[in-house]
Amino acid sequence: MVPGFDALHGEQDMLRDVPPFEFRACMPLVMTTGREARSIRELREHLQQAGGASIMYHMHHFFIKSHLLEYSNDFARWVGEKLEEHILAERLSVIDPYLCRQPEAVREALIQTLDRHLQEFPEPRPAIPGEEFEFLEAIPLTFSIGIVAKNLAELAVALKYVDAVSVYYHFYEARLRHGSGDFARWIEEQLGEQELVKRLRSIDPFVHTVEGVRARILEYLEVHLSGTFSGGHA
Amino acid sequence: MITNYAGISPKTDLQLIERLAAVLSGRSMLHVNSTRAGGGVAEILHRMMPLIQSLGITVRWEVISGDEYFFEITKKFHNALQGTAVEFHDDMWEHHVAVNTANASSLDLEADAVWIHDPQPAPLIAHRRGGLWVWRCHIDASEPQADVLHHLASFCRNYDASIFSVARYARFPGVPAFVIPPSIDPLSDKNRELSAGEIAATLQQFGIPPDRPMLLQVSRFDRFKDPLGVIEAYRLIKKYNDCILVLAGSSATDDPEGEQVLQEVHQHAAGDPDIFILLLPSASDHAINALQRAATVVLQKSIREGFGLTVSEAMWKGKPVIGGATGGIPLQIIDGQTGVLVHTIEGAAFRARQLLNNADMAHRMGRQAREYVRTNFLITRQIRDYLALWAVLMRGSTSPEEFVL
Repeated sequence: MVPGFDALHGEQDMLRDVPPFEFRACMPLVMTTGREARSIRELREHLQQAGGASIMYHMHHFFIKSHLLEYSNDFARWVGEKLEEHILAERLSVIDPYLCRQPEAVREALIQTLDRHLQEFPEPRPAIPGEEFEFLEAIPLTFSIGIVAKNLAELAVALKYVDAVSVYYHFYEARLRHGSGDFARWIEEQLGEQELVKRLRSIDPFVHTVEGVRARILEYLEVHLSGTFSGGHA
Repeated sequence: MITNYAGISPKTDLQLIERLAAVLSGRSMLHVNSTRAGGGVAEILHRMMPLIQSLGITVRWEVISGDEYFFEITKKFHNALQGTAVEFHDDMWEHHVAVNTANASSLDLEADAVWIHDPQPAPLIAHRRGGLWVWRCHIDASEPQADVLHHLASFCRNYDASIFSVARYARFPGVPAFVIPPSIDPLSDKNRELSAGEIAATLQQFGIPPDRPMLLQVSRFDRFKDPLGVIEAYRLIKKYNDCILVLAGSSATDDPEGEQVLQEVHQHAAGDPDIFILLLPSASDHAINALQRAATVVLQKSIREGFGLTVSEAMWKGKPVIGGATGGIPLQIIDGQTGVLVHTIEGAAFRARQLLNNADMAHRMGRQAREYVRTNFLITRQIRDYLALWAVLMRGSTSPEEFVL
């Protein structure tokens, strides 16, 4: 428990009988699909046929790796690192799976980007043997990690404690489920703290590691709990 | 027991293991392979079995037996799966099946989940007596020879699932293929924390000076590990930096080619007193641990590699690792972040010089490397994935739908 915070806000929240925030985590059990691309043209062909789950896996699991910020998905990384097609890698990196949400929209955006590149640069080189792109998909195993928060102070404390995969599940993976992060959604629906929600939703998912996201959320929560937002809560 | 990993492994891995154990408790698991000692498969099974048992799952391990010809044939399978041209005759396929048929009558193959490891016991699937059967292939099968692929695929398609360490090793059609990398045990003799005194004693045992920058490669004396290339890289480094090179590998007395490579390594070292070539006995986990902890920079400059767990071992010890960009090494090393990937001797030498001269870079990489191994390559993650696969198969569907536990 964060000293002082509960006294400031927690009791009020609990009086409202707020449904608690339940921390969960998601672990992917990864499978192959048998699809393998050696070139941009083959990548395009497979993207037309690949299952939506495979496309979405490659678009969003990347963020949990926490180390690479120059690309935002597996397709961009492969094109950039293995084919050295940096122009295409940059364009693929700005495709936002959370804005598209539906696999078909993501598929269309990817194929359009590849088509544009192939028109401009019609003879890209293939990958060297061993560096082909393997299309994967995953069975997500989701489970409660046994931690709940009944107010913002408890949410802040728990957020410091949980593994990165739990932060990932609620900040990134949640966007595929219902279009926004779970933390902001819970605060909005249950606590109605609009200024805080606005700040949490301003965190750009593409430019931070999971730990960076955790630090930002904590910062906003703690500023809010100490009542120092200039125009909102305080 | 699994609780011993609290504070080491990710909390969520341990929590998911608990959830899965609640589903699988009281059931039985059987592992079948072809050796109880030596090699990575046996090493991980020895560590994994008691941990799974502690979860309330009855787990057994059976080992198939065979004559010399059988193991000659399966060694050829191994080479042919890795792309080496090998000639097979019909009697070889028949002998592979016949030996498995003989084993099936003497082994207890009854279990709720049966994990068959590698090609040697793959035909046992014909003697299935119930349960879920999974074929776990530890071999780099990325460039399989067509006839051996056809032979093994005829068995594999009857399994409920297959597992490969790297996605592109999954070349067997007709069976769901899962990607589950191997792992290291942070509490084993090879990876546990050592005191400064233990490390110093090991260096003294081998006559290695403790006060000079040390480059280390731990691997069998095998051409695919490129030990001669490592010596070349060391010589390029030595033009700019004081350093010593330690090449440590287990005994290769049962491998004629290994002995030849070892001789070549000695010849190539040409009596350089700063090159230490250590032929270690097979049970040298403690010594390997100490050497890895004493190293300044660790190399795994393989030209070809199945997975290369020595990379994760060194990363776990917080060392900057320079790895050949092949096989499973790029899964462990994110270039420039959790280590360095190289394609040439010159690249290995240059990056080693950078690391030797930039302690901050080496420290940052080593710290990130340890964390990456913690979240991806510890034994608890592998147990988690094995149990998850078992639970998924019990669900009856391998489609990528959410599985809520």
